[in-house]
Amino acid sequence: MAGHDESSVSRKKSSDSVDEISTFSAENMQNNAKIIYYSRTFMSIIGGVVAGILGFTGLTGFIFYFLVMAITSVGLAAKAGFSAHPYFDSWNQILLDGFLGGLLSFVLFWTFAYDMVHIF
Amino acid sequence: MAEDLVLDTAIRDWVLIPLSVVMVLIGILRYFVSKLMRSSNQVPDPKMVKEGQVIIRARNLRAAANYIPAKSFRARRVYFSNEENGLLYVPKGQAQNAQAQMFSDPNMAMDMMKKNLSMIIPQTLTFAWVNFFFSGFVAAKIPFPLTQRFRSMLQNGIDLSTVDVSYVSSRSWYFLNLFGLRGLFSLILGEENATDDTQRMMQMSGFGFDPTKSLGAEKDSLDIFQHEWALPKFEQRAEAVLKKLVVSVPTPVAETVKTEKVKTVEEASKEEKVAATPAPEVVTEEQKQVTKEEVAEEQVQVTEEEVVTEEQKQVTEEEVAPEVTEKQEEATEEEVAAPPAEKPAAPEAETKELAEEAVPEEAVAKDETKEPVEEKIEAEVPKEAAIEETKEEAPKFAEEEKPAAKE
Repeated sequence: MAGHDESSVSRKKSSDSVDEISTFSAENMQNNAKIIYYSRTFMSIIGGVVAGILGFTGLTGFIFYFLVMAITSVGLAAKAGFSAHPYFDSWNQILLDGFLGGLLSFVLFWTFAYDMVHIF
Repeated sequence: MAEDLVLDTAIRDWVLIPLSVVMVLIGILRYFVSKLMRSSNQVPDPKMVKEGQVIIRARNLRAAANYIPAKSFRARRVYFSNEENGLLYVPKGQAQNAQAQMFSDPNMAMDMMKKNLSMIIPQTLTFAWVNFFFSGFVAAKIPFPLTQRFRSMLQNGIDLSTVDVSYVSSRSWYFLNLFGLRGLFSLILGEENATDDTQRMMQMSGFGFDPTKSLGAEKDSLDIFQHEWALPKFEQRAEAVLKKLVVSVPTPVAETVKTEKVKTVEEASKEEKVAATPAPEVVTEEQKQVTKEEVAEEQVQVTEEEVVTEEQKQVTEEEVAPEVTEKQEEATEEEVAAPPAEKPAAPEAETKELAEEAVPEEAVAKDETKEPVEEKIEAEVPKEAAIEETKEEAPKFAEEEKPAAKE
């Protein structure tokens, strides 16, 4: 199944409360985590291709990777309506989770595109 | 970058692209093969399944333990970790047996071996193929510089030491593909793809010993769990949520006209609600809590005499009951249809009748009903001031309705 439904973030049943006893729907939380993962992987692949085509080398390329990850984080936050609490455990999960997971895919596609375009 | 090598186009056509394509295809093939092989021997061992389900039950108990009273939790816990016939209790002798059985069980061993092989064989074959065919030349240039120490790793077939480390052999391209395509596989194959080696290896090691050790682990974690009943705090929490909702709902306000209508409508709806059937018995506990807080809130507002919120209530009441003889269900349906405040409206509909019933009754017997109901409820709302006292009475009436409804 290739249908990564990136556009739907499920609301988990949690409670914003005075005493921190929260109820989570585990299935929704898993779904949300999966969505984050897919989004990041996809963006890192695309970012790799873009970096290769644009001819970034060395440090510039890695900076571009972090830029792409930051854009992904902003996008995810916007999708969640800038309120992490009903959907995720914490802000960290949106912003930092899977940050480095896409690095290898990024490097692969970066190398590939760079070679295709510049050293062909 | 000292020199800029010009590499033959043919390398791109015949090395990089084919290698990547082959690796993607092999990954897909592996996925389907593992799927097929898995489905052939799907006779789950009943004992395994039983133990797995027991573990799941214990975990659910731990996860939701704060929503049941302390006694129930303790009773359940004893059922699980009782010395003689508790579900999780596994004496040492039996534990060893289970492990030995795992290993000698031919089906299990075959299964694990098959999985292992299906992992490793394609990798080995591809690696050998790459080494044989694509060695001895520069295959790609990685866009970032690396130190000299990586030379031996990346430039395996190339025997010139002056070439930039960025120019790598095809072996390193193979490894790059191996790690980089994992992300791609997870996208195109869905979650259940067997191409992630590291995860599989971690799973493999834990598989054989899972049942017995995890039973003991579950028992221990259940034993040390501290039970803390969350329900008493639900009331404050619901109150906070509802306050937020009520405050944030836009208020269509026309003050003076409404205040007169307010009283007449209130009385009219009072009669009507009291005459109508009481709250539906199938109210969930959450809604009961919600109604408690809504009622409490109304008491607070009444005592504090806030005109705006009263108008709001009356406005919604007006929307609900334009006629005196309107039925309960129609009211809730109308309110559900009303766009801005769906949620607070629906419980408000139910709480209104509770409020109307509570308000006339409240004046009658304040002190008498306090004590017996207090004995009923174990964890009581903390008593603070007069406002809090009125809050208590409202939930008490809701509680009285609850056992009445259940019986």
